[in-house]
Amino acid sequence: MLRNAVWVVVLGSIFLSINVATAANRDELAKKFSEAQRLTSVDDIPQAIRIYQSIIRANPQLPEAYNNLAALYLKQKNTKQAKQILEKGLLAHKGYGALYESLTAINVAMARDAYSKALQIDLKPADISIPSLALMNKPPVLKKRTIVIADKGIQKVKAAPSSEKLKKQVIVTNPTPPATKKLENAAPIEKTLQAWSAAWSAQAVDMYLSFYHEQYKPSNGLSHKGWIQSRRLRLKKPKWIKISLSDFDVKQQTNKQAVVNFKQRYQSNSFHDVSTKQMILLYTKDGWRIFREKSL
Amino acid sequence: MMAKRISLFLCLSMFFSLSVAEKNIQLAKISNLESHYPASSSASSGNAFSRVLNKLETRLRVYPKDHEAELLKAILYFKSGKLNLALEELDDLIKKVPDFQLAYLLKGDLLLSKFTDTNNLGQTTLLASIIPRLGNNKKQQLNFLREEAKLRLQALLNNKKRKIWPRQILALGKSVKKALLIDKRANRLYVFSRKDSGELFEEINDYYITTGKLVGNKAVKGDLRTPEGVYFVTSWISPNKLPSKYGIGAFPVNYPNELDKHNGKTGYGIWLHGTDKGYYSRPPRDSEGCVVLTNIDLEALKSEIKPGLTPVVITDKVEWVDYATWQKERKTILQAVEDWRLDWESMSVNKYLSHYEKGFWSSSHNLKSWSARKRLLAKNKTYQSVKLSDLSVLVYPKDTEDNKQIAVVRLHQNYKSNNFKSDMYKRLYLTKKDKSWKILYEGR
Repeated sequence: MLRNAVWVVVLGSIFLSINVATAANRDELAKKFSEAQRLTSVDDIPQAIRIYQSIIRANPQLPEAYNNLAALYLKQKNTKQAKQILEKGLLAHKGYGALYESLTAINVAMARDAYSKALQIDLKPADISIPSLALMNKPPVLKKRTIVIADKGIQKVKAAPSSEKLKKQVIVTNPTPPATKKLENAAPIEKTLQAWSAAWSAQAVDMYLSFYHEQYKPSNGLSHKGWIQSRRLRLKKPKWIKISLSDFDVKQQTNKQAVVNFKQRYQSNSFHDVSTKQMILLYTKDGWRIFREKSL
Repeated sequence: MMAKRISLFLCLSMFFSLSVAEKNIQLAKISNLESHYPASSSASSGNAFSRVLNKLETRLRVYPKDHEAELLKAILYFKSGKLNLALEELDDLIKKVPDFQLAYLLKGDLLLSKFTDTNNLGQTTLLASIIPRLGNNKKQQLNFLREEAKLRLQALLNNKKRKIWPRQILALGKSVKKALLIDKRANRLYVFSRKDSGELFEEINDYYITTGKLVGNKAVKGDLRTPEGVYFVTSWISPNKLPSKYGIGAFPVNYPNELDKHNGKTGYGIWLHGTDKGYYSRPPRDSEGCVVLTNIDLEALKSEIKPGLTPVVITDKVEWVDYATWQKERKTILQAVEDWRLDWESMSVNKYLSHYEKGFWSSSHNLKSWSARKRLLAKNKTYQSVKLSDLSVLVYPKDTEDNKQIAVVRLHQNYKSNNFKSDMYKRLYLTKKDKSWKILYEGR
């Protein structure tokens, strides 16, 4: 459970953080990026590497550049350097670096536990301690326009989320964010739904869908399959999505089933609304799953 | 975020500590920020991979409690970079079999593999930092687990390559139906089933087993070796009559058999049995000579084993042959038995006795006294009929008994003559002398 929560936070943070550059170097960056991709496609690897290296020097917080550079090192069979550059990328961003290390700590603790069972040894359960980070002193500079690096190069995003909203998103990159703390005390149902909304916000469709019961029936009469298809499209379409939930009201609850109402605030680059939702959740071997969902 | 693609051969060979050749790793391209999380459909594929995976899925359909297949699936996912699938598979497995040590070892590696290299099972820096404090005992335990993983994996890979006809089993009688065949070197037990049509049979399943601590053929009491030869299950001992280390019960076999006793072998208590509480499986070579199965596998196998009937052929290495070789061997031995029957019926004592080997023995005779008795009996015969049925033919592995070739034939014999009638099951030990099979032992 903890593990899942951590992943949600990690993914959420990765998806939500939007890489920022000043308007001045935006065009240059876009040009460099597409040039690097062109060189890659014609197999001029050394030149492409040089360009990514210069992109990284100028924009040390651009994960895409690290990733693509690592891919090129791999093409050159240089696994070691690929690994190093990925690690450097993670550490270049204070938030990612911290998340990466915290995640490592948890995985190591879990691995210790597994090994102690494998060899039947009594190991003291490791203390997993994750250092609490202060809020990053300087959220990325936010101008009116931000840049999202995508497949074909760089696209302009017309309406960036307000700096107020982005600040909130940045907070999530803190490994012990207030949100997580709150979740740990919350009832399992609320926790599940917060994770659900985080997956939604992250536009992580597979994870989002995993919160639904296999017999989930959409209220609009679509088949389960048809619904999955439509959700895939809907979730992926906006440039960004932000969901926040509040006012949880559990109407009835047994060990197996619960009815819960809450307020859902939906924002994306193209649309926003606030609605009251009612959900029926069933308890399965994997935890609470959404069985029915409707807007009141 | 990162999908590793490693060739199947390489990934599996890692467990055999072959030098790690260059890895073919491919990073997920950051192609579309919005579809960043297709974790379940990550990049790697490949024919070999899906073929083996299909095979494991088939195994699980046939035998849903094939936990080995689940473990191997996790290894396959792991080594092809599908870490999340591997972890899911392992977590599922551990839920079902909470005492499967190997599964935990793999899980430990898997969790760390997101952050560090893992080349050999249990070869992580974390484990390396824990182990030295624990002493040799645990180091050995780790090696045992590695050995177990290697054998389980090898069985999967070798099964595809090997020929499928076992020289050790040439015929199964109607009443016998099933036979067990053990390969000590591969730590594997194969189950063969007679087809209803009669003459042929098929392999229906195979299991990982634990055998004697020391390699080689058993000779004397307490030598910690598993005997090699043709044996039969004699009884079933239920768990309430046994210490817990035998698990869900035991099937003793007839070691020492007639040939073993004749050759002066000693020892007793060679059983097929289950596994102690708290353990799913045991290391490959860990018993005092018994053949140990997991409780779950023994439970599945229990109904197939009939005390007094089911043969257990134990080999150091099973001789897998092609169909032509197998058929030829089968015909030769069946023909030798048929010739013996015809010559017996023919009333010519000399012809009949020509089928017996010089070193022949039975419970109360050697060749000389046997011949004398047969000649005496023949004097009063005017007519004899011998009918044989329900034949099983089982063959000792080559090199087991001083390079002598030995076959065991179990058959039903219906004998009628002018002054005598009998109906009985017999066991013949035959040996190959100058290209023809002669009777070495005859008894009920």
